[in-house]
Amino acid sequence: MDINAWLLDVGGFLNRYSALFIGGIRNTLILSIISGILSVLVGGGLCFLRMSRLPPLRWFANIWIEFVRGTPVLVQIMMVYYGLPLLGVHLPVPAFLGNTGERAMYGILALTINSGGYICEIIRSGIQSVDGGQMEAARSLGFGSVRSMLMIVMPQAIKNILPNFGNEFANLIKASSQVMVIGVAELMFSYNTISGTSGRAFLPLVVIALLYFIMTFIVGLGVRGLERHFKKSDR
Amino acid sequence: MKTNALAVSRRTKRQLDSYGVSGKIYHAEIDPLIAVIDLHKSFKSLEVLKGVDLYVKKGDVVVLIGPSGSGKSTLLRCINQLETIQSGDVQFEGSSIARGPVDINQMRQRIGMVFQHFNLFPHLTVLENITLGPRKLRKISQEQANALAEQLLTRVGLLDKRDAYPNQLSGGQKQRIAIARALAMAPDVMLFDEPTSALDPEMVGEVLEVMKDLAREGMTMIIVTHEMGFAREVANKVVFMADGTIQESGVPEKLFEQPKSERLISFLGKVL
Repeated sequence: MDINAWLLDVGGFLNRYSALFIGGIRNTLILSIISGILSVLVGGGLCFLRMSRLPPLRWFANIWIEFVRGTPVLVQIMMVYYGLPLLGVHLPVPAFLGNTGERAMYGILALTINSGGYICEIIRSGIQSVDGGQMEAARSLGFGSVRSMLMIVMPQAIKNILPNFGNEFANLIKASSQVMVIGVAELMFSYNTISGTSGRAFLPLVVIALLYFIMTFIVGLGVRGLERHFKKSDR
Repeated sequence: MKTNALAVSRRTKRQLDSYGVSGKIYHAEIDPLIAVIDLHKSFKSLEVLKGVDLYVKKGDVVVLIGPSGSGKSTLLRCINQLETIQSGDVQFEGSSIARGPVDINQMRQRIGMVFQHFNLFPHLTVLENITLGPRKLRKISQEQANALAEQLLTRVGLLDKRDAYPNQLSGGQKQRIAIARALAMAPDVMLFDEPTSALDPEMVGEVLEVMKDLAREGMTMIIVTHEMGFAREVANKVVFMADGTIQESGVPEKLFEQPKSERLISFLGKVL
């Protein structure tokens, strides 16, 4: 094929479908950022339960985490989407999510449940990476367990936690592609529309892959920046 | 307010007792600062302490010696409740720390602890390590805390390191800072858990010097150590532990020169 003709063809394709791609990116970012923020909150709470002195709270957190780790994201998304209405749960829908907002809310909830489990494990392993003597030293000065955790253990654990948050966020962006199955118009969902109307199967995939790569690459840069920052303060 | 009044009255009582005017003669075995009574401690099915009694009165320097695994460190850690105990009791000024309604965090402020591996806070400077407790727990101002820290740093000979971070210090320096950090809480007693065991040999001396100074100033101390020379010089009571019990105890001269039990004789044969 003539290279000029090929470039023109691709250019035309991008031009024609750019609005769909951009709309997809927008929704992917909205999904990822909202569930990213929520999953940090949920993961922190879950971690608190997991390290609790009360066995039932620990069991709850453990079951959550094992479920999230042991089942596919796709299954989790569909379970939330089909399961919650059966339980009579209806989610509030903020206006900025558009006319497929309710589906998006189910997607956000499913991703938060999933990512919250992983975030919990990241926080826990970050805390466990801090030498136990630190907690003992703080307690033996007379600080209570909560203050010891907040003033002594967490500031050290955060070095191990933050870079892994970045990795988990990149995972979240990729996992968000799977909420297309419940009809949320995110980036991967736009593939159906575009390939259907253009009759092309592969070209839109290449564009979508590239767009996902750019998003996760930027997150990765941030992670490496954080790692460098913390290494510096170690010296 | 109530606890303050209590502390004052207790102190006055002790003072009166020591002058022998309150009608009751001050007696270490009856009115000790720290009393460990028939203490049992197990890790899972392994019984580490099998009924230990130990009385420490104000100003005592008690050194715990014994083979590794004999329960010395565990006993020390039980005293400030870093380990929970199975039975028996640990009392501080007559009130139980192990069981009973006391606020353990309040009690720990009065019991300083120095660890084998220093456990300085690596994210804080030397000054911040020392001032953290006084500022947040004793609620003294930043300026006062800094002044206190500088005074303590001078005492351990490390004033020039006030703005350094722990990982810029040698082991001996870290341990001296750890001692200063514990002293900043103005404790009534100091516990030392093998304070020189993790140090290079040439740094042991500087830490022992600081501890000797403390002992001379009348600080009540309970020390787990393998430094027999130090024990002999500084202790007024040496306690020999083996197999989770106290085998023999007494003044250092007696314990080191005329050991009675087989275990102690063979132990001293190995370490001296």
